[in-house]
Amino acid sequence: MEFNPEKAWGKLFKEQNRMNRIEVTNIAKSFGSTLAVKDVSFSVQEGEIFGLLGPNGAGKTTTIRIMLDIFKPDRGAVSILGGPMNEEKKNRIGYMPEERGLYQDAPLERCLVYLAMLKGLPGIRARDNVKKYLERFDLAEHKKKKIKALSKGMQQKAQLIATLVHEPELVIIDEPFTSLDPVNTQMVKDLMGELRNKGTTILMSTHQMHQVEELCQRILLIDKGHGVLYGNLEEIRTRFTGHAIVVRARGEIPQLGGVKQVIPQNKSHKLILEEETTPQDILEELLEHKVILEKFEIAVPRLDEIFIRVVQQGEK
Amino acid sequence: MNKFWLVAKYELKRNMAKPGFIISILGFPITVLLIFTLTFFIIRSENKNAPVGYVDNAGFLTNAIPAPHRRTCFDGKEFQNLLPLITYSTEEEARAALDSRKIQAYYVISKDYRESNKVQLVYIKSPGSNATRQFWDFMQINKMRGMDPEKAKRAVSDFNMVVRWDKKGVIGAPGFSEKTILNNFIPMIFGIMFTILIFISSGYLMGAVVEEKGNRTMEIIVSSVSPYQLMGGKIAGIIILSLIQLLSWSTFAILFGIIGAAHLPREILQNLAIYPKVAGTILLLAIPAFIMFAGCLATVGSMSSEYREAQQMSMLFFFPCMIPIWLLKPILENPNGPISLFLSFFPLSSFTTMCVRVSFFQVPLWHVAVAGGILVICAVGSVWMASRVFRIGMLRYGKRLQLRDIFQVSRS
Repeated sequence: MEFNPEKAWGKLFKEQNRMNRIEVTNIAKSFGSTLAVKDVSFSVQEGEIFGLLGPNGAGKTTTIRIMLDIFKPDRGAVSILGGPMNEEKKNRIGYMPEERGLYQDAPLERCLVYLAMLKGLPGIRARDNVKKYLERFDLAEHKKKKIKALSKGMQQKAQLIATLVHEPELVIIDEPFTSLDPVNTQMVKDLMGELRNKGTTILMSTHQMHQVEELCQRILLIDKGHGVLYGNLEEIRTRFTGHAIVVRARGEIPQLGGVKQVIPQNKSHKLILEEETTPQDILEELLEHKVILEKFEIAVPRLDEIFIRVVQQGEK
Repeated sequence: MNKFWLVAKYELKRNMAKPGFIISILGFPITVLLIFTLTFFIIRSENKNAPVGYVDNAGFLTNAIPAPHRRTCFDGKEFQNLLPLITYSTEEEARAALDSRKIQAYYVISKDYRESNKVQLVYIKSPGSNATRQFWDFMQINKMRGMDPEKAKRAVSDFNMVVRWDKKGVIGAPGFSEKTILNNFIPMIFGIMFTILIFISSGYLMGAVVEEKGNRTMEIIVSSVSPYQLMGGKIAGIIILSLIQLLSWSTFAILFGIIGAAHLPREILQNLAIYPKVAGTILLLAIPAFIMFAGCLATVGSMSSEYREAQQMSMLFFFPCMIPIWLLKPILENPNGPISLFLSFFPLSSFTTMCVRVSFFQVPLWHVAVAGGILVICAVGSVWMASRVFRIGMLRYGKRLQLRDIFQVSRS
């Protein structure tokens, strides 16, 4: 059988597109003399929660707007749901922008039904879905109220309903936890997990690193328009792991060989090790001293520490 | 439902629920009603029924043709009562009659009236307008006895009368024309009203765009529909809203005509008519003009960051519309002159100018065709421009687009 490279590449490309719901390749965008996005590339796989991170003004929102065809990139390409963005695909995407907004003078239910219908839902289904979500988000009793009469948290929930009411395949969500109390934050997290389990792909842009650590499998960190950190979250954390361990013991920790520095951390201690020392050496030494250990772990940096480190390196 | 119509429907419902719309629906007819009621009472209070005297020192009114009847009611069946005109041979006699309140006033026609046209009015308390009008008609009709037909034609064109004549001169008594002077003004009034309506409605559109930018709804909407669908739908919604407004005003006008006919003086509502040719021309131009202004004001809304700022900028479009009203005199003096032609073909003043011109003159067909063509091109262009500017301006929260940005948009 003769090898047909074109056919083989086509098949591979199709397979790739099935897996990747978003493919962003070397996009750049400037506004006048300001270069908002210089070079950003990443892909989001089907059914994952992907974190888009970056400091203020890094180019996250511009990247999202380019993905949604609100802005045209100066260069680069975007493939979304298997190809370029079009009007039909808008119905399959749920978008919650950073700048929240609903018709302030409109009653809650009417506004949500209208937005659902704009996403291609027929009237009856739009009303049914809105009703379902209003009940789930404890907003059913406020459905006749004007949006402006709702609290900030309620408006945030209404915004989430507008994003999810048409049951999109792809959800792009900017700072989903802003203005939510802990109860509602947990509810949104559960909802996102539920969506992921159903196969919905979620791209989440946020500053709340602990939420990213909890929810996302993969991340992209953008700084000054460049993608600076990209990949699996666990792999990234491992990559940034220093030569250190965290120890908590009952009583005092004795003087140990091979330790460069001891940094107290709440009830624990972070031990920075010499080049040639391994964690096993320290563990053996502690056991020799008959220290009763409550915690002994390799010191993995938190995402916010990685974030700050990468951004500061970029500044230098 | 198509997203275009979905946007149009929502825009329509949203604006109809606004207090401003309800006020404009009711406010306009109420204002007109008040003006007419006031006019009616003023006219009524001015009419007095005592006879009027005259002293004819020139012998001008010997064997005079009696004053014609003016019809008073809309159906044309009733006639205004003529006041008795009493001749006095001397001023003293007339003065005595006035002092004894037998007459409300008297006129003294000077000896050299044929040369000087001098007539003196004497009264103690100012006479009713019906009396002065009747005596004016009486003099005009008698002036035309035996007049050269050409001169008579010119005379009647000014006084709303009809005369018949042959080679020898005027035959019989002149009467009043069936055409009222108000007929001439209907298209012009309609034009002005429509222009105001365009600005009220386009103002809603402009407000909606500014509001959506202000409350950040825009970004959500454009992730569901294209800017063209959004802008086109909004404009369609506003046009339907304006038609509802126009329909309600027209319904009121018809009701007013029917009810007012029985009570208002004939000369106000005499044979009101809208001529199909004039109405057709106005409608033909009104539609593209409306779309053009809607597009322009939507562009202004997309450019601005605040409603107040947008309102100020919209004046740039409103003033050119009103230029033909301010330049009414030169347009009427020379309807096919350079000023008229320029204003007819300049898109922003075209509609109002054409309304003024068709009100009073026969406008060449090619003028209508060129003006219509320009308006259609500008309407398409303005909607295109609005959606382009909207695309750029919609996400610039709190920032106004500069002219430089607009040029960039139009070039791209």
